[in-house]
Amino acid sequence: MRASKVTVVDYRTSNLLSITKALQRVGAEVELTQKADDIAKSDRLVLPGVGAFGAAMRNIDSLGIREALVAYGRSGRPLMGICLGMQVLFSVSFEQGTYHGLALLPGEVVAFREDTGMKVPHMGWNQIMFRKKSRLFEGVRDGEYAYFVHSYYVKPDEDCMAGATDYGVVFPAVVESGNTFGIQFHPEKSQSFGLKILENFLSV
Amino acid sequence: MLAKRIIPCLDVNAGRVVKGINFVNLTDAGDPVESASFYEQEGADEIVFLDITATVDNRATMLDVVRRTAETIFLPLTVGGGIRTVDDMRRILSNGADKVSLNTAAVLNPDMVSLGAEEFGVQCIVVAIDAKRVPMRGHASDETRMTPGFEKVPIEKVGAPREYEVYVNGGRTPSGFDAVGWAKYAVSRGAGEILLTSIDKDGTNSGYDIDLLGKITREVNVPVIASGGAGTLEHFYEAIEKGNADAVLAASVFHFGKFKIREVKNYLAGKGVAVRL
Repeated sequence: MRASKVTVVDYRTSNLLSITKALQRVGAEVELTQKADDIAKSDRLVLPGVGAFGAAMRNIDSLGIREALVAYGRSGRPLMGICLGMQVLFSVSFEQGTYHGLALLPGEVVAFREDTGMKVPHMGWNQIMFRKKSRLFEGVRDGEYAYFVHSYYVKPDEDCMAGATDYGVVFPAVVESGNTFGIQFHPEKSQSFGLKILENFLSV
Repeated sequence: MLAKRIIPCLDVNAGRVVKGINFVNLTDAGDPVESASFYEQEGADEIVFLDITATVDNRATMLDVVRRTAETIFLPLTVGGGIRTVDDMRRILSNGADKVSLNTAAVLNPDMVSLGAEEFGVQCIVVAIDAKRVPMRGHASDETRMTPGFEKVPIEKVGAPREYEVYVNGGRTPSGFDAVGWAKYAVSRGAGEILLTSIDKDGTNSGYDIDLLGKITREVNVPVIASGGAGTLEHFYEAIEKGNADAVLAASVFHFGKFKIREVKNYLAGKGVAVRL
């Protein structure tokens, strides 16, 4: 298999070892970067991330890569945001304040309500139910389990929800709009299912 | 629906897997990376490494084990044993672990739990509790006693042992704290998950301590992993159904091949428990 090059943005929010190894496992050649130039030149971009939304946006701004990320997203080249990296693709988050995201996808990021009786964070293996056809779901069964760790989820304005998960509330686990994808779970921790999603992203 | 997790635990000493029966009599049984990889193929939902030597010499060995495992398997990985500082946590997490498990260190200094939660998020911080039934009901609770070295835990909040006492130092040292009180306090300080081991049940294969589990799961709003005592398939079911555990952990029954992880999952699925098959 010819290696697909993937640029993984290192904006100091997460350990990139696992996502790098997972992408390499499915045949990608991975380049880590913190630079706007590399983002601009990339043909396939992954925006990972764990932690707080506000801190993530601060890091993006202090690295001076906000415009490059927005420009990349608008160019129509393949982009995948993972977990917090998915959330920052949206317009606004209410995690410990109000923060503006990259606004590549319209919608907001909201907290799980504790009064649903569910434990927060949503942590563990939960099912992905198909909502519409997605290139990420090639060769994947409806209802497979993926590994989640998060306390906030996205509420998109448009119907970009490709996969849904039920945790007291039904929320988007996978969103797709053009070549921009967001996945709320951790493919790098979701064993063969996660690897398949990453492999499918390489074919987009 | 959120699946109940089945977690094999690998005790690691100097880079090798061992399993202690009642925390003694260690038996060498394999390479941790290969074992983790084997369990991944068998359907494990998560892997726990417990560094049971945790001497300074072996720290680097353990970090290497963690890193090689994280490079090889694509599952959540929790590492415990000998973690004393935020730097220790950072080193383990930066080598690819997803969570760190604190036991003695949390009792010695609960600020460690808060500092870790602030720095890495509550989802990274597991507090492991080794609990032992108080021999005679009420025996230890007649008066509060503060064990030297554990003054940083507020006894007025945690309380003296009622039915179960927290033990530290690999189950050797009684802490003077109530297990339920400590679990609640640890969560209030930032624990995102509780790994609850029954010292009485550990290594006996006679079933998880359902009473202990129930008492803790009723009182905390974070996931609780049941540990200690798995011997039959039904034991796993009881921990989940009666003890309300979010995850079940076992070592020897998996390690010595009494059950395959998939066997446990198929059994649970047959009983209507949500598991990842």
